[in-house]
Amino acid sequence: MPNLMLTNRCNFNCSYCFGQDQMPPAVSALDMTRETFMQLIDWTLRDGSLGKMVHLMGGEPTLHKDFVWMAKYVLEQKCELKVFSNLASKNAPDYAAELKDAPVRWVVNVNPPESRTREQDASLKKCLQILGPKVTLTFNMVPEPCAQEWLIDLICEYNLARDIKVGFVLPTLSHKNEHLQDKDYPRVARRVVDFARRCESFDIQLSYECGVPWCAFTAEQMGELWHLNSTFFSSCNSVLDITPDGRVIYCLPLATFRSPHFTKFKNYPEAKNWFESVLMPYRPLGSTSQCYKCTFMKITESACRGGCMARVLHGAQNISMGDADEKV
Amino acid sequence: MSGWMWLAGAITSFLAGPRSGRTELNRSALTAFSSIGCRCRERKLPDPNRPMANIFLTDQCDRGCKFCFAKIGPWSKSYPSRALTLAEVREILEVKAFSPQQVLGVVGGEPLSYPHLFEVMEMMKQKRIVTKIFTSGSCTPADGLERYKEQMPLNFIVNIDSMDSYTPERRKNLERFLKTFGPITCVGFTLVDPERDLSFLLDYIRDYRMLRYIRMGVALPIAGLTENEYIRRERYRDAGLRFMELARKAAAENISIGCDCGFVACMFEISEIGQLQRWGMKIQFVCGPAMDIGPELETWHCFPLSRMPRVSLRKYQSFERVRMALQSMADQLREKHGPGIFTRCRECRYRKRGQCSGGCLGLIVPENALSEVEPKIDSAVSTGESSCPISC
Repeated sequence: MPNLMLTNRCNFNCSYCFGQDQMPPAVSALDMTRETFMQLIDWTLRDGSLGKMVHLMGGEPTLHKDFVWMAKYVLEQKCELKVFSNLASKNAPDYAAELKDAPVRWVVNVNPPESRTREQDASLKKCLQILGPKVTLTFNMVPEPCAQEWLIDLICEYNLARDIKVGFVLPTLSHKNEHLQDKDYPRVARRVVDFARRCESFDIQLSYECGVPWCAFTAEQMGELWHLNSTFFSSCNSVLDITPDGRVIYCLPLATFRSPHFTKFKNYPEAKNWFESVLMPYRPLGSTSQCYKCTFMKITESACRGGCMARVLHGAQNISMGDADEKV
Repeated sequence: MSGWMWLAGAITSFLAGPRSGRTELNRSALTAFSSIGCRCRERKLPDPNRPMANIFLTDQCDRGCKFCFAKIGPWSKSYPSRALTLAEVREILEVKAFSPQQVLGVVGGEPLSYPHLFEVMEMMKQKRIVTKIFTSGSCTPADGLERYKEQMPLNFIVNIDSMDSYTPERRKNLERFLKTFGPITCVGFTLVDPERDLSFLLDYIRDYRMLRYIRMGVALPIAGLTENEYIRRERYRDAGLRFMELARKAAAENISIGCDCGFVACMFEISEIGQLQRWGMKIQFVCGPAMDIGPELETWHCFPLSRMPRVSLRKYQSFERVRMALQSMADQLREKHGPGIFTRCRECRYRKRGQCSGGCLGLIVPENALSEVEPKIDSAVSTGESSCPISC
């Protein structure tokens, strides 16, 4: 079940966005056609062993004019559907209303309230009102400290799922976006633990996005997170993303790494295996000079890769990465 | 350090893998961690390494471990002792839900003493089933099994003890077994005496280049019986400390440890739990059906609850439904006689949140209660997979 990128357009312009190498102005604006979408659904479901699950994402997927048609198409195939969205687009409330009774999970990325215009804020809140517990919030920890209580307020006010996915802002391969530096991790880890303490009293759990090096947390902090029911786990074993024009990428931070067209693979598992084999030689390198001798990374090897692979590959940039159009 | 120097060091370290145990590490780490899956976008992936069930091939074993909870449970009273027939094994493998690449445990007794083991291996190979054999490694020479190393996904879990505890003949068998299968075998050990130094387990891994993972269990009682040795609940903290000591030494050698069912959260301090995570341990203190399948395709929850009513796989024709039926009976027992092995379990936040089940029901359920429960599929919460915590 890859993440299908319906469009690379977005209604926000987050400085930390790790998808920016795949989005305007870095590349032209592009929407997935219905035809490509149907081919991709067929391709995704070709190997039955993965279950029937489809993820829709962007950019901002609700900017796609055919968003509802695509969501319904997925549901008609008796698939489970998950949508990654900010729900702050103009059309989002209408779409949410249309899909409110459908078995759809919404993973909603939110930034602090001051980052939203009045209209965006109104759209988001309307959607949350409509979708309630079908929504899981996700937000990104940036280098600068910022308040997080508003997340708890949103969950309580709109009765959202009591689970927040925490991302540590990741670099793109080019490292042009705002992202955490090594020195930021301990400070951000402390903020996460503080936030987990506050969440616990509201019976809210934290879970974690990919790419966080495990050494960001001390043993005491990891123990406390477990104690708070917000057990830390982060890995780099991405669900593949597929761009609007049908190119498969490992994940958004690695959008410029390799991007063969999906038709070069028989099915999703074959694509996933191919990417893993291509990345395998780089895995043990880790992202810092400390990683390769880190006992901890060796033991948890398949979990901790020393953080995001975009950091690892950036560190290893002198190694030839081959050509994006190279024959698969 | 410049980028190039770092890169050179990293590559040197990577290339030095086999010498430093990296190759074995990859296997063990995959085993230990793939069960966690990627939670970055999908929190609950099915666990590809967790046995969906265990085939109880035979109850025959002449090892005679005092802590053994497997040999007397399922075969008492109305269930006569007998091995599975080949037809029964075939029938198990024909259950619809069983698809290639899924993991099946092979247990006993001593499965290597099963007279039709090679026929079973052929069947598993044909179905591309990932096979995990639980053995003592010392009872019987494992002649002829070598060929399957390359032919199918196969590994072993050897329940082991220190070399000086074996008779010369058993010792010879074990050494031979480990020399042949060490790189696809992980150490299993049942903790009976919290005073005992366990460093010898690391020696095995080093000497025989075994998988760098230890599967650790606590000795558990069989509900309603008192025949076997097990750890009393008042010694659980001591057992936790012993476990920590081993985990610390193991981490220094890039070996991770997983705990089998029966462990409880309060065996450890919170900071110890954090440390265990950093040492690569998957933190789970949950109890769920191991789902062992015996003659007539009767299944039981686990060995400590083997005297609980059985559920027929033949009747349900679905591992998932059988699992739910077994879980429902354990739930009834826990509700009535639990929730946990300590009085404090009732108010425990970890239990309420599902982070800890409260320990093994074998410690708290009286014999006469075992027959009072019955399977109720609708009331059980489907986990979609075994909730037995061990994934190795």
